[in-house]
Amino acid sequence: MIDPGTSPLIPYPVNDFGPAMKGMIIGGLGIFHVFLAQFAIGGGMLMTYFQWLGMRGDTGARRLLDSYFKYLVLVSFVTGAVTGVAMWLTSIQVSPGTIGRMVDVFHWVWATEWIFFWVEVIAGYAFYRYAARLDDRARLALLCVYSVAGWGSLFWINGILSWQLTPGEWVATGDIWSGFFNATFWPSLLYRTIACMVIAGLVAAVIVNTMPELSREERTRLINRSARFMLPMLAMPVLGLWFLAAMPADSREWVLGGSVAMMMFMQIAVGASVLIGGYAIVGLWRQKLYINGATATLLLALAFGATAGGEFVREGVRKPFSIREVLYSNSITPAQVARLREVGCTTGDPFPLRDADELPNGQLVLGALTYRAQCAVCHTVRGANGLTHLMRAWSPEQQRMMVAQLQWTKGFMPPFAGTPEELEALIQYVRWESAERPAAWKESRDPSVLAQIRGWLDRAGTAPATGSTPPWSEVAGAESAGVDATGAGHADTALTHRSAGGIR
Amino acid sequence: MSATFPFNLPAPTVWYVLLYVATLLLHVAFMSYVLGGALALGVLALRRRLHQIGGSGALPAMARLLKDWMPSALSAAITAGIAPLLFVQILYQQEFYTANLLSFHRWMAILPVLIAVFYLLYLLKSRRLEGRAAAQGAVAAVVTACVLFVAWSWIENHLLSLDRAVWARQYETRAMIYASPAILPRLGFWIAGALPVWALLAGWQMRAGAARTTASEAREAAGTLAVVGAVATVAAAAAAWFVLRGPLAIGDAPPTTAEGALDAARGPWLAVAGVGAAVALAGWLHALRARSLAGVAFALTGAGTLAFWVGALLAREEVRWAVAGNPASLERHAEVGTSAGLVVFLVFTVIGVGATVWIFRTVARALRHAPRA
Repeated sequence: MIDPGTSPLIPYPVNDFGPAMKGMIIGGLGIFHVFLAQFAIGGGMLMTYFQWLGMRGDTGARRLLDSYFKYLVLVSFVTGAVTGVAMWLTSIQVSPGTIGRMVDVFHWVWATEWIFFWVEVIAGYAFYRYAARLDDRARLALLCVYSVAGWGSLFWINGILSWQLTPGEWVATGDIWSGFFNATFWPSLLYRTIACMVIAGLVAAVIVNTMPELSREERTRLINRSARFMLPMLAMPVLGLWFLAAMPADSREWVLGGSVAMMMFMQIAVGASVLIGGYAIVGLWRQKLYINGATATLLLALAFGATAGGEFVREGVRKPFSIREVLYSNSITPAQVARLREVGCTTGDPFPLRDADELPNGQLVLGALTYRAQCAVCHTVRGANGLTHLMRAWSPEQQRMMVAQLQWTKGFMPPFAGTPEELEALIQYVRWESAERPAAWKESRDPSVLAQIRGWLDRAGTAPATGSTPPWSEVAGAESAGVDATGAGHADTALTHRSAGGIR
Repeated sequence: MSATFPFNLPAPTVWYVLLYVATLLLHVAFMSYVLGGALALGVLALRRRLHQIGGSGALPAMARLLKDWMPSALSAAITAGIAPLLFVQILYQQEFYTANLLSFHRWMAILPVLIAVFYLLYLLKSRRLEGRAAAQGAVAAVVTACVLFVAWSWIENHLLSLDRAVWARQYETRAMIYASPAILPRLGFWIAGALPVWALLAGWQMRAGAARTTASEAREAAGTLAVVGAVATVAAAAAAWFVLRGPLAIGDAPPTTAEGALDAARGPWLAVAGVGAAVALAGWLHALRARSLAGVAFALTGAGTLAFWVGALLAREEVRWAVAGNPASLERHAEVGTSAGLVVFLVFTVIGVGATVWIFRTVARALRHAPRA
């Protein structure tokens, strides 16, 4: 077993995406992929329902079904499948350490999900190619297999994704099934299942409006029947609250006001869902209204907004971790922080700095390397979430202190994991960039500054803010017997113990 | 440690190598259909036969078949590619990830290109382009170019992942293109190896009457496919010998590593590939004489081609392991091998295979009793 506290970091080359932060890249693709995948899964369920209606004499349902499947194949099978592969490849671009750890731990689960996906694709294509020549029983059977396989793939991937936020007992025991069936697994799975059904129902409302062969009356009936499929939305508030209750307390705080961005995105998700739910349940189901293609498309766009908001929150509330309690967003483990503060985070990195000759001195090169190792995964220098913008207003002393006590400066940041020299170099690098990259820049090697940084680092400790109290708080003061000379307190020790034991 | 690769390695590594190769074999079957089909589309476009949907004869029937089945084949190739993509991350995580990162946009370009290929194939299949020879030819040419681009990119990525010596320089200079003299011969190997698989699958489909192929069209096509299969099998065997034994196999790897790789690759797997190619060749010649890909010809070409690919893929892996394998990798495999879930995977694999067989049987049974659309 490899101990993450002492094992060397695997050095990977780091790319930048210009002014875009990496989260925007993986987030954008992720939202797009999730939306399409949920359409594929919900679409299977809806078509099974429509096939059943068709077998009971609803000819309109049968016609819609055949038309619907063409869209499903052309949109979801094609773009959905490729964006699924793209998620893996993009995750490697953004955070190879995180995706590598996820694959190491859950490769058999992923392999199982692949089996389900395989069956889903075969059943889907069999229906697509031969539905017109199959009898009703065979059609229904194929659609049932397709739906079960599609939902099964959601089941497996949901366990991995929810594990990232709430790994639960896995952290202590290494038992992957307790990690898989974690605290947010069921609310997340049920919520996503309903989201699949809603997206499928809204797509049906759009497609009905593209079928000129249907009368207005038939369209209205089919739309109203699709709305029935959206009725489980009534359970969404309960499931949402369950999810909120199951997530870690500090994560919940971000959503409930601790982070403006997080709260805002959750409100987008909730607001869009309420609008869709209200329209679907009151207008389409209760009052049997008709909606035209434009309105249906607008509702579908709202569903995309709800998906985007929800996925943003799901990704965001994990901060500062990419795998909670195990791996920070920058692929450093909590247990490695103390060691990196001694040996440095840039030591042993085999990849040289690009354009190093543009930097006036060696300290700036070290600063740029430190930025690359610790900050580049979430920040840019001058673009989105740019360090120059975030730190411009602070004095040099403030900058040093804020970064040295980073996890307490902003609770969703990981602790700084480098030497005082690297921290000072980072500050100088950001200041040089803020000063529009002048040709000459004086190195800062004042021993008293480095000693002060060391003091701040020691005082802040190596524990994350999640689940800990600041070492200078009254609570921590009362428990000061638990704080050692390095500033690492009880929480830190507990976390280190929990994380030891390597890849589970 | 005198056992044959991969059985000379610790159990967890053997397990992952075998799963990787087995799932890659599945991917190769569909990938070959796409690669061979794309080349065939290009040839048909050049011969202006692509638009003759309504015509009779081997070439129009082939055009119908490809238009009808290429989108599904591409989907199957991508789906089947997910499993080896998973296991390669276990076996060679650092190498694979680093190559991905170094090639960056250049590597990621395969994704939009694949989406474009998908839609172009559906466009080719649609009625929109019916009878428009120039448009169909243009679409087919773009499809062929895109598929070759994806093949080239994978080869480039594979070789870069093994060429550790150039990583730092590649990163520092932002060179997203890895130029190696090994790429072109490898591309030749994959194309030559793909064509017999495609010929075999296409011949089988035509014999089964796919895309409304008549018995006489299938017989006529069998002759053409047999020539393609025979020539490509010989070329594939020669290419395999060249790229898996020669120094080009490992790009710019240091000489010491190259020596080790070459020694390692002189294992029995190339012999298996060679025997497979010989058996397949005998099958193709039989098919050429009999103007049929049924019976003995089908059995020989099928078994021979399978043996060729098993041997070639394991030889390829042996070379890769000689270059990239190290004690740290073995430790990692032993460690991740402790992850639970294997039993669940095996159980659902059995269920998945059962479901697949059931789907085929259900559809086949229903179609037997249904009138043709």
